[in-house]
Amino acid sequence: MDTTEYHLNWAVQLRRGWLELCVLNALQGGERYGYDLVRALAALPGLDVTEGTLYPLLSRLRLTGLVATRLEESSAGPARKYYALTPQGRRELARMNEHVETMVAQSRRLSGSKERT
Amino acid sequence: MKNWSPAAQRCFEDYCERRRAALLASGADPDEVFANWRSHVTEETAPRPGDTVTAEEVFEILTKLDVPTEPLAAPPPATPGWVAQREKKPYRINIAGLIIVGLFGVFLPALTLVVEALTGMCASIVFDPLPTWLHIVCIGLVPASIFLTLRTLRSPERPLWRTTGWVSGLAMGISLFYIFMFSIITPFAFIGILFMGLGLLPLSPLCALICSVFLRVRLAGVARKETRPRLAPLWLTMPLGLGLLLVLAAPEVMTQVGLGMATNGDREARIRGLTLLRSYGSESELLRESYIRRNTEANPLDLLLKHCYPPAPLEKVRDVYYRVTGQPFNAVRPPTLRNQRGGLLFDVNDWDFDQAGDRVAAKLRGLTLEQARLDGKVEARSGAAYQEWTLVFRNTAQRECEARAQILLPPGGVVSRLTLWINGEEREAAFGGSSEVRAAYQKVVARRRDPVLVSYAGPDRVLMQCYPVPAQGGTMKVRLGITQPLTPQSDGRCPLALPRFLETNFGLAEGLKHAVWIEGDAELTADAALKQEALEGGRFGARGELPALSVEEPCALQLAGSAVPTAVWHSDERAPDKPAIVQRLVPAPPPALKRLAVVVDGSKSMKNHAAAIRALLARLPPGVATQLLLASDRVETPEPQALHFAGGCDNVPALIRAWDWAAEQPGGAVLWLHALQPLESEETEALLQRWQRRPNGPGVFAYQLGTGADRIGEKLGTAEIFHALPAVRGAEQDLGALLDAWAGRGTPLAWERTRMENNATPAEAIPGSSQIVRLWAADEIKRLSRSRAQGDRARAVALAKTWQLVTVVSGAVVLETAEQYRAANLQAVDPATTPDIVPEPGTLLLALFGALLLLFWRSLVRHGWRLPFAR
Repeated sequence: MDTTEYHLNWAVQLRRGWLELCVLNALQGGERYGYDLVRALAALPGLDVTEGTLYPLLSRLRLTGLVATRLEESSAGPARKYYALTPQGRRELARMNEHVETMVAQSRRLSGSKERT
Repeated sequence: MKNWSPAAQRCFEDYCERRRAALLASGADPDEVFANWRSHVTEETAPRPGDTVTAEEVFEILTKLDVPTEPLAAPPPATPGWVAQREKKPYRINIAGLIIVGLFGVFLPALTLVVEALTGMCASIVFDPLPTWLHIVCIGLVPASIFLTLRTLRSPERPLWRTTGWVSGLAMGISLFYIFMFSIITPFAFIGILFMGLGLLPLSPLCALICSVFLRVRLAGVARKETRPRLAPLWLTMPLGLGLLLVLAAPEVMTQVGLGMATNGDREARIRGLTLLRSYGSESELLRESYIRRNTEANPLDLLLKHCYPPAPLEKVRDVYYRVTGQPFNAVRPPTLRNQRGGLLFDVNDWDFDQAGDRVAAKLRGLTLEQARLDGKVEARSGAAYQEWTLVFRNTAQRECEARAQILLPPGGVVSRLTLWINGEEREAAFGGSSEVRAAYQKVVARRRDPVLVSYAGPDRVLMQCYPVPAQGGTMKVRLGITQPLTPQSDGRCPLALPRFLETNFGLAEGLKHAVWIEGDAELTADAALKQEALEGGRFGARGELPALSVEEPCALQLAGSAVPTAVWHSDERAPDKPAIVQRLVPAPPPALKRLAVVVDGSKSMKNHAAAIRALLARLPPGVATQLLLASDRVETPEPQALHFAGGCDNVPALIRAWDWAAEQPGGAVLWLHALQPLESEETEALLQRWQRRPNGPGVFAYQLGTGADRIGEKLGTAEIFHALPAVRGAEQDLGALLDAWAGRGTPLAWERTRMENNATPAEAIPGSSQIVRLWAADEIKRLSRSRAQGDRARAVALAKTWQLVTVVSGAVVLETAEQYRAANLQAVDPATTPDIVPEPGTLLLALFGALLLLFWRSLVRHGWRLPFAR
């Protein structure tokens, strides 16, 4: 296995949880139309995610109770589905962000202590 | 929004099916994800050209959307086999369900609606489920909503999702209402289906409700499983549907409640019922009830109402209709009533409810007055005139019918001749007692032969009816001869009033004009429409055409009062002793007036005359105690500015109160201003008792504003103190003359006719025509009819027969054959004894003698001869 392949595998494993965090963070500012949300996330550099995989993720988050949906009739097409954080989702997002920050800080601290020694 | 081509649809569904297992394994809701993907595809294709989403586009977008677990095969165009196994969605509806619901939820209610709308089957036996167009719309909503729900269930992604939720709830409410209304006959419908296979139609609401509930459950499943928007809640939509029907039924229910109150209970309850009906009732429902009472055991609502208010007879309902609307029930076009087979039960075109009756009633379509002519003869030297009114009726309907009209005669006039043309020949009438001639007429009408009848219908009024006016363009021609006095007015003029229609059951032919031709021995002043002529032999004429003669039009002709002598006589040649009848013009000042009660009819039809009434009230004589009474539902004493009018009011209670007040002191009088009075009153006898027991009590002066029958006047007109004021020159002048007389401004003149004993004639009287004797006979008959002495009524009838007059005790009828006359114990008059527009021989000789005298006088003057006393 060359290092590139190794990196790709590592990135896939990391992205699984990271994607959910991105979705929740994207909703922190308020509700968003599903299609726009997916297009925005898919366009994020480095996330390397297809639009098709985001919809199952949104479905899981809804079933888990972290996000809620609302349909709004549209004159131009079918009803539009809007996603928003639930109170539970906000709490979970705060915990996740805190956890990430802790992890990054710990990782950096480990890196820094090594440098000091 | 773009439509998806079938291939695109199949492509998408195939893609989803292939992803379902993976999605389930990932913990996502596949249906939700599929819906999101569908939205995604729609958004992506929206800006692209074209109206249809193609399979290629779907394939392209789905390929970009995700990397499938298995590579997707490119869709071969329009190959159905490309579609993989279709997803099973048990919460939607399958083909069997579609057929059953379509049959019982869409087809059956729609069929029921169409059948009922076309035949009125249910309306004739149970209740009318479609009284208004809104009901038709509501019922139509039920199959429409079920159809829409079916369509949505098959393709939830289509628009109108929210609309479907609303209409399905509304339809359930509407079905519930009709299930309730049909609840009494529903068990019979079940039995009918079981044993005869009939009765499915009444079960339509129940079937529709079951289908609606079934579909609603399915719809809720789709909303839940496919994350569609929430449906409008049933707790809101269903009561709305039910409430809508209840609101629509409210006027009908209010009408029944109001009718119940107005026909049951005491006076106050009746008044409350009338108020309710005027405010919230349905006139059309009331009209329908006036013809046929509803089946009061067919639905729960009627059962409840029946329990509260026992059903009233038709006559009472008809009275209520007039009290509520201000017009008789038969003055408006009858409702369309249907029988059990859906045909018309009756229509005014097919049936005349008042044929051979004594009311004019509703106008008949197709029956018109085609031609009319009025020939008159003025005998100013006799103080009388004679007019012949010839009327030709035409009937374009499919059924022969009776022409009826109430005619206002000139003041003091009397019908003295009646002629009917049978097969082109003139037939004169027989005169007899009122009941005799009416019985003869009805008998002949029943045999569908040709009679005409003229009978008394109140002071200066007669009812003319002739039958049959042949169908399909047939005509019938009749002629009425009217003898009338010429009474000079205090202003020196002498109006020649013409007969007019008060009420007719026929229309007037387009552009109909009355051809008027009047000649006489005095100069006539006529309207611009009539040409005035001076003829040879000292005679004058007026002729031309007048529009339809209506009571609203003022008098068209008059002559100078000085042309009428103050005393004239003629012998009663039909009496054995041939006594002289003398007619004198005497002042007739009304009794000194000290208190005046003014009764104003509060009926709706008086509304147009409100300003004229207020102006008149301002002219009441000063120094006279006055009381204004408004004959409304209750007797009121308003200020003139506060007069108000509604419905049709019973005036007799107000007349009683007014007369009692006027009778408290000497010098009282009652002035009654009223509109048509088509109904008699329950209290007429109480009023008549007062007038008959005190014949020298306060006089009652009645003046009718507008047209129409006057049943009260017809009853009260026989009383001596009742004076029907003639409508000759319009309300302002007619009533103004009476008020002036009361105020001492001018003295009215009246004819006094006496029968001289011993054949004596007063020296100052000049000889006149036989019309004087007819007018005396009319006076005498009126006097005898009021008498309670034994034999006076028979004497009155005998006198009417002798002088061939239509009076309060007599009428005239023309029958077709001598056999019919014999069977009725009547005898047609000899044409030689009838009055004619040709001057009588005596009058002719008199005119000739006058002309010769005038020529002789001129000759003398030319030769220089002067009167001894002339200077």
